[in-house]
Amino acid sequence: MKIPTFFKSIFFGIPVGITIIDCFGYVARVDGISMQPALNPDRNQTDYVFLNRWAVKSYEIKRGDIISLISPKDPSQKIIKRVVGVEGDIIATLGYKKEIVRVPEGHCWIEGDHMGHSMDSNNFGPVSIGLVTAKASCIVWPPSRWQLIRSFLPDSRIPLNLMSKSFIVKRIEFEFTGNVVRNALTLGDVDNDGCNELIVGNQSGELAIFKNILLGDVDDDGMIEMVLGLTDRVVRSYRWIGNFHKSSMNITDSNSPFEPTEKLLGKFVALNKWECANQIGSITLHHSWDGKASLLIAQPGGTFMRIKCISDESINQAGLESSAQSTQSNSSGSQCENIPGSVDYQFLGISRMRNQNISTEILGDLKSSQSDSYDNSIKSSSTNKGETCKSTKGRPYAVATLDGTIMAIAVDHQVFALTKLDVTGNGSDDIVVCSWDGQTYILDQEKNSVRFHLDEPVQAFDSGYYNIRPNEPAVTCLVYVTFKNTLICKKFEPNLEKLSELFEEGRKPEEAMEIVKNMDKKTKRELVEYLLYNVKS
Amino acid sequence: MEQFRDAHYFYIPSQGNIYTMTDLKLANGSTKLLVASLKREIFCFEYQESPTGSLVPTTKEVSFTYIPNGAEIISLDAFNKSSINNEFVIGITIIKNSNDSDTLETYLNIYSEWEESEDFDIENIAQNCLNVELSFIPYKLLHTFLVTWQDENISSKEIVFILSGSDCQVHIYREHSSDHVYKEMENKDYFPEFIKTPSPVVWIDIYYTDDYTDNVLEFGLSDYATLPRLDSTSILTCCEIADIDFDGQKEILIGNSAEEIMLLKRDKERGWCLEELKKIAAPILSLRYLDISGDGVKELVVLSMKGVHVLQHDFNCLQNVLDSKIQSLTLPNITDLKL
Repeated sequence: MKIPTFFKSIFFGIPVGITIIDCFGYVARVDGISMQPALNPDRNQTDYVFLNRWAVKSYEIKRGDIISLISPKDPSQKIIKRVVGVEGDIIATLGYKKEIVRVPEGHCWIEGDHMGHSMDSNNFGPVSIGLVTAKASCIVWPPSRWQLIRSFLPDSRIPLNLMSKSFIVKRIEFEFTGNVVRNALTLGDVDNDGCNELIVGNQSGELAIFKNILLGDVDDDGMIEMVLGLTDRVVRSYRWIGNFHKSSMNITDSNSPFEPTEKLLGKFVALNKWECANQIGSITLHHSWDGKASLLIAQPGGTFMRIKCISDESINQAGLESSAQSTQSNSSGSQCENIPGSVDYQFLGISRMRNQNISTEILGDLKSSQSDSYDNSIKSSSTNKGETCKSTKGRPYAVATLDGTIMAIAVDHQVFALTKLDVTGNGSDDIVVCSWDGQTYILDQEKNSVRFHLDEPVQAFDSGYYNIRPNEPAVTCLVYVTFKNTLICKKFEPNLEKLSELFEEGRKPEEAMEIVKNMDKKTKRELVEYLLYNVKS
Repeated sequence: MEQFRDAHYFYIPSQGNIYTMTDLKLANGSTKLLVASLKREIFCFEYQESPTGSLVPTTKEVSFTYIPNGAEIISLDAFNKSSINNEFVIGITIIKNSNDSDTLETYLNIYSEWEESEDFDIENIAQNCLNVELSFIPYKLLHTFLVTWQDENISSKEIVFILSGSDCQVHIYREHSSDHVYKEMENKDYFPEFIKTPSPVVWIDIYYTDDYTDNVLEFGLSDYATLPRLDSTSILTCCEIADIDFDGQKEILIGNSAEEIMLLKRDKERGWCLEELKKIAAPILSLRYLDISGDGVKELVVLSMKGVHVLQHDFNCLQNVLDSKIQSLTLPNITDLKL
């Protein structure tokens, strides 16, 4: 019997095809945003990936691999996720019912890269590796995205059992009351004694709400000044005057409620005042190529204002004396004088701006060991919308807008604090960026980044050097102000002595007390509820 | 109300409405809060007790199945079928644009656990859905006892869902346990009040008297007071009746779109009058007065456009109240004393 060629090819083609698909792999489209930025980084473009079945034929999967698997929630659906932990690993989960999970034998812990937008092990727990169908080995379409998919695990998601010691950060917690505003926190030597202090301004500041505090030598006279940005669009500068006059010992210490070891002998004296056109995003000190200091004040929409302070000793002295004489209310500032300084506005290219009203953060005086190459890298990245970093003939400064892009790295989290710190000790400053949800990015000037996650929402952040003891070298530290203390999550505990009076009938007071003490939680709760709501007084 | 302090606030990404907050009273006495938002997210909020004894507020997004993309949640209700264990039933009404035509599809999704159990796993419940297609736009969803009588005795008491709709009717959904489906039942026999109302019913609250016998309609609702409208521009969205100052008299709390909670107190001479106004940061959608921290004292839970605020009584204040209550109990009653 003669079989037509068409059928012949089908008869042979189908088994061969099935074998290839089953043994070697096939191409699949990636839906959804759960693996951003590794897959589907652009909303309008869908990636197609080659799923390699050969690689998982013996279920040998490694941490960091991107795999496709049958959804444990809906077996008709296949999902693509990254392997975060293999059997035996201890995982710090993100919102799973248990905070720490040990991955059981024959299971793995999978997560989408796009934290919070992914249905993964944080929802349904460890998954059996029997569900794994293939490993995604390369992106095959669109051509612009041709690449091999490399195994990669973000630092913040490394299983706890593998985490190196350097990730364990020493923590010191301070307690204070009142709300702390975003930038009202700084590390610096406020009393010029060679030892760094942590300064916290709170909202109960006597005159105005401090929006920003900056410590630095603003006018090149060798003394460190404090610059405050206020919510009424005014910038003021102050200097700490040590204990020159015995009479000025009484101070209202609203500016520095937080110096546990230092005695407050001295006061702040107002120096300068500037008014801005718009709300102040942040303030930074910047030294231009000739070593002259200027203040950079960020304004909405990625613009900023530059103020040059003229270091005129006589004017400063005059301002100083007059303010020292007038009153002791250090933050009143009514006696401020406007020292002539040159003020100019700087704009970034409007085409790069995504939002004219977006708050801007600015940071100056980045130390750079190779500012030339940095300059180039910035130029290449500046086409990359939103945010920019610039170099003015010397030291670079960084500008970030709050919609979440710093340099060329897109961040999923709303960034709010931008600080610099030479974490690595290589002589050039790294940019440390913190977002509201505690994600901290440390970027160096070659655009390498490290992510660190604090598990609490953050309301203010700074990084810097902090002296624990006067004579020891300062250590690098990141300071977070969290919301923890503002949450009053306590149970009402009734006064037991009073409660015991209820049981005194026919008993000694001690016995009654004993009854109350041994009361289990449920009974106590019901008793309190009954007393409050059902007893008429 | 000035003795209320902010205890916690959690943010919801898209706003809810006046029907989207409900509470789950667990068998062990603790309470969880279930809040839905327009964009299909449903959050479960509770206070968990940490080993050190402090309370940790936790918010978890629960992914309920069968809420399709593009659907919006209208109302939410939950009850516990079992009186000693946890056997929760959660009802969610959703509205969705149909794929092919411009018509709106509405559904009542009912989630329940397979069997009653000691511990409570909301993820489990969220995966087990029964679907009822509706022919009207749903409004308020609530539950009540359906009491069947045999002569003079109550023969059975079961909980049914009640749903008011845009067709000016109030519908009752009852579980047919044999074939495990929820079906609408004819409401004429059980709830004569629910036949054809002049306009869609926006809100219902149902209270039974202790022995389930009094029929309100027999006596009529003649003794009522109309409260004066205080502000003609804001919309009153919700109210809660509770004794928040522990004096044994209930107060009325009303939330409005002008970001205020109004506290109305009954005065013997003047009747109901405005006692206090409390400002909240966003327009208020829903109010509950319940014990979510598990300490016997109830908290005021406010659902606003932006999120959920938990307001707690001031502890010093509470202790004073408690002291005076204990005193009133322990002091010998003067009328009983005989000289």
